[in-house]
Amino acid sequence: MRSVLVANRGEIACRVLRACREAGLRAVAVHAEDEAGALHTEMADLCVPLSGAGASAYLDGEAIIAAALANDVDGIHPGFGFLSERAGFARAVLDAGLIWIGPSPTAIEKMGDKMTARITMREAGVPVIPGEEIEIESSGDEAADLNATLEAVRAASERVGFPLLLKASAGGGGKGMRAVESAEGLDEAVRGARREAIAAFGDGRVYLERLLRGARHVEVQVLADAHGRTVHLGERECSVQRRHQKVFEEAPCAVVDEQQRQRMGEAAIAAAEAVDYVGAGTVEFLMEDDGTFHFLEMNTRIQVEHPITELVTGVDLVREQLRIAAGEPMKVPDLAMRGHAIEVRIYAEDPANGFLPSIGPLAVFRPPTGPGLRLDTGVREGDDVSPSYDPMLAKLIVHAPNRSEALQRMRRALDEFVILGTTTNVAFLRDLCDLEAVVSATTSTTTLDEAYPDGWQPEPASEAVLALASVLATARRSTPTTVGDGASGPSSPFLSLSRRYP
Amino acid sequence: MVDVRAGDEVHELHPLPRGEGWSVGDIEIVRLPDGRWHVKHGEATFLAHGTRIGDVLWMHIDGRVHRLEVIEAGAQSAEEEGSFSAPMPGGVLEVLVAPGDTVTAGQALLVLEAMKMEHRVTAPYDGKVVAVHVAQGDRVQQGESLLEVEANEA
Repeated sequence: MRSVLVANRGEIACRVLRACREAGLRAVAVHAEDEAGALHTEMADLCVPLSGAGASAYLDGEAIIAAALANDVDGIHPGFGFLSERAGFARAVLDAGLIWIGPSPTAIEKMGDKMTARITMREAGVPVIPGEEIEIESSGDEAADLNATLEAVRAASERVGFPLLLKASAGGGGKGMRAVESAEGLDEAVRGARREAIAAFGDGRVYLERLLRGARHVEVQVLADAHGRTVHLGERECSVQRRHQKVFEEAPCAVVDEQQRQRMGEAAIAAAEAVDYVGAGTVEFLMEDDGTFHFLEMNTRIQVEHPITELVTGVDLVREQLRIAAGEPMKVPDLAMRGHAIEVRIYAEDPANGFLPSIGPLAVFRPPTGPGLRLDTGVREGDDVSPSYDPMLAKLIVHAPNRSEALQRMRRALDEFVILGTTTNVAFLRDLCDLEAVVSATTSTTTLDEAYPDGWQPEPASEAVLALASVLATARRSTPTTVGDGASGPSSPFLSLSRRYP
Repeated sequence: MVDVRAGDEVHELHPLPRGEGWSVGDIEIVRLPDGRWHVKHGEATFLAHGTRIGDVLWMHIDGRVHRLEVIEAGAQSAEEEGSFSAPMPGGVLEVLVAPGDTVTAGQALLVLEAMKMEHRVTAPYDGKVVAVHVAQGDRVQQGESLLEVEANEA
């Protein structure tokens, strides 16, 4: 393998393209029409424009394979999102005679279908969340299928117990998922989940899981090469989530000791081996207070939060992906976790306004620097944040000898981070660092909902802020000599016109 | 004189030229050669970033980003205590009170729509509605008087 095309954009494309250059591989980027000159295109030896603008350009598998074949490319790295978990694309890449930098299409399929994954895991001895798959042979008639599903779910719900989670087998990202508190809400939830799943995935099959409240999201990184070696690289805790979207991740998990790590690591390896996994992957578990853990799903790709594992293990996961794809044995020493790493995801969104995505120019973009920091960014100062793509701009990662120092380093780094022109979640992330549950390492997947039941609000503007605002407002209008109107103004320079316009 | 909006508050400010920079009350502000701002407030000093994009003032000061808006001078000048004017041009979605109504602090009086967003005008204090100058469906200009509320005697 001498040349790799990265079928992605943003920070993960930058990450993988850099790894290619470090590995001595020719790095090829692709970009949509509206992303010519985007940061990731700077990291490549060659840029191939795709037709069309927005996410659809990066989802055009045929065009990407054609670009690879036309430009002397040997392998395709999909990053995450976009085509990374599409078995059909992986198969097309292989059929075109190219190297697919990821697990086999069969492994993607087995883990992508959540019901199949549950059954496979149970057979491999990996604990799954207590629940039941609803196996309904499709009759081609939705009304009949729905009725059969309703009947089967009602019967299964008595065995699973309430509260329970109803999930679409083809689901992901919260789509086709319903929490059901009691039998009364069951039928409505089944109808809703099926409708959503059919619309989003063309597949309405559902399964039931007991709803585990207050559990932690703990996931284990695995690596497997084609020479029969499968290892785990310890865990990450990603409990701090907002609507199933992770925002704050750390490694190791503060409540996982060496024995627990061993148990979870072995389960993760068993999960990977059950589908003959090759490459980098993540096995996600829900972990209860007593340490009981259950398989949630396996992500068959590199993950957003992979850098925290890299910092505490010293293993370059993307470099290993490239090595494994080239057919070489991985170069990973015995697991030794050092210190503590935390990652936060910088989103262009307004946390004070329901976390709605925001757009605008990055008029000022000055990331923090100094010891123990890593910034994986897909943008730089002067870029425009467009509504056409995912709002994640960058990831800020810190590494320190222990958890409390890592948290303190993250506070310092977020304080230094200046982004002006587009609203981001930086201040929200900074507040998270002071949240009681975060400080005491008692986070669960419901922590954020409990901490901000009425939403999050920024700190009010201080007098210094107002004063600077007034200077910014007038400085452009005129030279200082004509600014201000001291003679006719009121005695206080801070006349507040009170709360008038909520 | 300049009016800036911070969240749901509007402040009238009076920056004055002073030496190399400006003073606003006891706060002294100087622009540094690298474009940043030196802000001195008593014993506290800050190195701040600031930029204006349209009517939005973006600042980073003391580890926090603040996004404030300029309300161009003039729009608020005729403001009287107790009178509520439109913070921006827009449409009146709903009028929730009528003259003579008693209102309590925080109660919604009127809903405006501007920039595809709803803005609620709420009573800042307990009082009585003495006049309503707009009706549902009206288009209003920035600074146009919407209604008047007389505060209860303390």
